[in-house]
Amino acid sequence: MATRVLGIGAMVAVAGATAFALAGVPADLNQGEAQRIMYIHVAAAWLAYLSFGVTAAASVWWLVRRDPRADAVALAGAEVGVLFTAATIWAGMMWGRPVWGTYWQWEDPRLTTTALLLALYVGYLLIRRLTDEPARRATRGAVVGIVAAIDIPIVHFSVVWWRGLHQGPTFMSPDTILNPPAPGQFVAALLLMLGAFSLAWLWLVVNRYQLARLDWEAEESARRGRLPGLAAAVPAPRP
Amino acid sequence: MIGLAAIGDLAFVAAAYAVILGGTGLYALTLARRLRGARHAATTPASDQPRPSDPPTDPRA
Repeated sequence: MATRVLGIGAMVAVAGATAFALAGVPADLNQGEAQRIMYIHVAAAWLAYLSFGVTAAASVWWLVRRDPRADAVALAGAEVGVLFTAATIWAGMMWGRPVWGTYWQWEDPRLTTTALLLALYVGYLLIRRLTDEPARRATRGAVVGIVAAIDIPIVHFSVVWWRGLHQGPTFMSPDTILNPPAPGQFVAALLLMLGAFSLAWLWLVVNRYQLARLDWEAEESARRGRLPGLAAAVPAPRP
Repeated sequence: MIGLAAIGDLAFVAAAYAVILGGTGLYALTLARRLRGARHAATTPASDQPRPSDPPTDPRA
């Protein structure tokens, strides 16, 4: 019931934030209508970071405690993170074409490290499919989930460490958060989109977590032979 | 002409949004359907669940 309310709330919030971003704020003087893509691009990027941070923390939790809930959280974070990273890249490309004059530039450190981030977590999801044994799958996934997280700060600080096409961070220090270098309406649209997408992110993660828990329990039940038909279908673990 | 150009630019932006929101919505729908199926399987008694050795059933029967 609570997740249903959350889902409906997320849908309404995303619809409202989208309407405000597309029609409620004026176009930027220099970037024109393309500026509106920034609201969804930045929100998706921040939530992608959060997703992979959750995966890394849950991976450590799994390696320390061997708790199946940790593996479910890690999987949920990674899968939703892949979705939001893909959204980030797509929105960035659609913004880059009218403003930069190009969809993509491999020489740019932010773009390239973000593409690498996407590849790392797609790899994480693929590696999880290599074994049917839940504990082994969780351990392999946890190692990849922790190693891949090294790319998160590299992506974020790439615009500070190296020069490229991508602009520097808009909100970096407490001073710029309190006194943002953008008009109040633009900041409001960004924060509204971030709030709405956060609700959607939470709904997706909670539901993916619940699905992962049910899958784990079904696999464990089948392995213990509670369901004879399923037990025959699931291969025994390799020694 | 300026108005038409702005409408075209806004349509480009709206298309960018539509792909993201549509993709996220599709993922959410798939997730909800899979979760409903998993919950149904978890609450169905083992004896009622089909086994791989079961013969296929005729949907017209």
